[in-house]
Amino acid sequence: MLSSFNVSRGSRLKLSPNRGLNSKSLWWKRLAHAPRDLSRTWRRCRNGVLDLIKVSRSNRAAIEKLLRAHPECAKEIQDRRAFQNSDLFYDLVCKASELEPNILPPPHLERGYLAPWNDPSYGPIAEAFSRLPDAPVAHVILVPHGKLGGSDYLSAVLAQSLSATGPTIIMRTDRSDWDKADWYPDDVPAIDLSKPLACTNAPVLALYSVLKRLNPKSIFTVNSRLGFEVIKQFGPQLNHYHRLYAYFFCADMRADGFQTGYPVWYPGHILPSLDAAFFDTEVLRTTIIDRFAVPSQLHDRLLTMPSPARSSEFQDPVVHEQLASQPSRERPKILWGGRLDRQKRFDLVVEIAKAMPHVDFCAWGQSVLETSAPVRFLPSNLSLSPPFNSYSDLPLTACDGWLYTSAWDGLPTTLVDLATKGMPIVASSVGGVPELIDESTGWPVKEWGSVDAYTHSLSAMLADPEARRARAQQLQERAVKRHTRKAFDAKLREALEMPRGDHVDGL
Amino acid sequence: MSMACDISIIITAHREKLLAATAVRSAVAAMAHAEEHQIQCEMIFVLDRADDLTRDTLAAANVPNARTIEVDLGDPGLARNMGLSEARAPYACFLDADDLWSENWLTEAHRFVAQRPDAILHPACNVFFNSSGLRKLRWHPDSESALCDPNYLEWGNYWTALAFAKTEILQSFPFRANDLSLGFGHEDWHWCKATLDAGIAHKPVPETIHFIRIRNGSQSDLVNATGGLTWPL
Repeated sequence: MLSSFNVSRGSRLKLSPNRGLNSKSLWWKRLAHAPRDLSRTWRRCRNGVLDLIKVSRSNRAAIEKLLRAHPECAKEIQDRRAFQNSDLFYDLVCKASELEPNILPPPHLERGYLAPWNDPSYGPIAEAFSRLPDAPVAHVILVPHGKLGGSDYLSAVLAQSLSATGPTIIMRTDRSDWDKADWYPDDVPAIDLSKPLACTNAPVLALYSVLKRLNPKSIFTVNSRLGFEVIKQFGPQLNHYHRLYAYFFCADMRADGFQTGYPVWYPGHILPSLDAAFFDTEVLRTTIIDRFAVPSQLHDRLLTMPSPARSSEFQDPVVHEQLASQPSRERPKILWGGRLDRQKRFDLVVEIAKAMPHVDFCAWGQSVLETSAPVRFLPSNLSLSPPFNSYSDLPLTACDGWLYTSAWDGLPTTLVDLATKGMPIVASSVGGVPELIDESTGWPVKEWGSVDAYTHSLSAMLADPEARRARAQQLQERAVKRHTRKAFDAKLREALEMPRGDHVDGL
Repeated sequence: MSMACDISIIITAHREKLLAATAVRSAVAAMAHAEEHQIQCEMIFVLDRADDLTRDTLAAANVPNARTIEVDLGDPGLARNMGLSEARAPYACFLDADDLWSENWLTEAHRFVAQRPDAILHPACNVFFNSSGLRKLRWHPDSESALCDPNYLEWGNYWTALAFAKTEILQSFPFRANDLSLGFGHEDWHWCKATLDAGIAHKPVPETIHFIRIRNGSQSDLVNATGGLTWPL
């Protein structure tokens, strides 16, 4: 019976060893260097070895290096070759063939296969293993990359919080970008596995092997597609030994108006394997509970985890200085910031600016996800600058409010940050935004997408300085209370300490 | 069996039907070869939920002094463990009832184990075959060789379970049952990892061969069909 012998994880039962190798194999790096000169004997050994196991070009250098350092290996393989060419081998196979004629005598045999040298799927895995820490790990956070987005920021916050409870690592699974290293704590290694995982023909299985090798207590996936996939495919096995958590942010929207993205693709598959699922907004949590009719006794495992604001220190609301500086401004000034992608509706800003020529609009942003048509013919009262690096780059105290026009969203960290600063805000009432901005804390626009609705709200905001002050203060109080690091840590601790009871199937 | 013996041969059978005959005959040939070298063997059939044809085929092979154990385990690893519990010899080895040994396997393994009684032994190579003309030659690595990367066991398996070792060692490292409902299988792979992790060397016995039949519906097929993975250590 065929056992699992030489059933490579990547190739399963496909026994053909000579498929293309996508990455250099590095497990030989641990081997010592050997003398440079090649004796005739050594050359003969090397040729015999290469001939025997038919190594690929990228492995050839590796095995030559190994043979220099370990000449006994050459003999080991030569002995095998000698056996294969021997009368004894022929005789043994012939005798077995007499009992079972399906075993044909030697001329029908291929040359031979010696793992791991002939397993092309192993090179990237060895590379991934070589990047892992030796020390035990309590928590692993799987992220797609390290960019500037809200989920990237959240993963940094999560790393800070988790590292206080045990050794934590972050693994980039999809791309190698690491744009904001300063967001992440120094004691949390950030390991880039994106390239080795991309080189293997079985990336999900490869990530599973990496996780198994690390053997952490808990695994978090924060927008890592491969992270979602590994839970989808191997959740029951992982859940048996590790606590599993996933963070969901708002769905994306297709051009035809239907939702797409991780909150659409994965919850139905992976919720049963999770110890807890986190949502950045209550509305997303409610949507998932309704969509999958999650039984009420499991609701406490679906947690709304509002993203903490970047600054937890209470500041004097910027609206105070805005009102104080208002007489020095000839024209009202409204700020806007975001990606110039379909979701954020910069096109609306252009139309709003045209409809309100007496107001200046200052925008910051660039296209990130999509190739947008170049922005042309901006009205004279609308300026567009590259993305800002820091809120200190913005005239937060020398303006009259913020405009937010997204067509769909969760609860963007920019709005949370501006809320904690006490900024008057006109905002599309989409996704989780109403959880922060309502009639008492700002100017929600329920008819989002309507230029008239935004201009109406902006006009109302600009016309009533006292309402600006009152609502911005209310907004700040709500944000500071709701989006604190303390609240985030408490919820996280609750999730980490949830009893698993008799069931090991997570949700 | 009253006379002292050196090796307990444990043949696990399930539903190999007529194919079991070839396995048993190869074991008998290896036994005869061993006896020529004054090595005495006992044979233990472990029939795990075996069907009638498999049972009858083994009976018809008419192996003298063979013992048969009927079990209702439904697991190849547990069946091997059961065979081990019945082993009386200082050394034991396994054969699945559709695979074959080279004639010299028992003799050479017994000779080798005298030098390395602390190790688990495997043949130098496996010849995988089927009735459609497939032939694959796979060399077993030596876990103590620089050619062998132990980390590879996290990704693929090096050795089969058709091993030879001191009975005491094998009994100290029983096979873990597969749990396909949980998605854990490949009991042989897990066993190789567990034993190597415990510091037991896996050594190929030079100039020996196993012949491993590839067929649909094997336990390995079943494990793969359920997305089975090895148990973590």
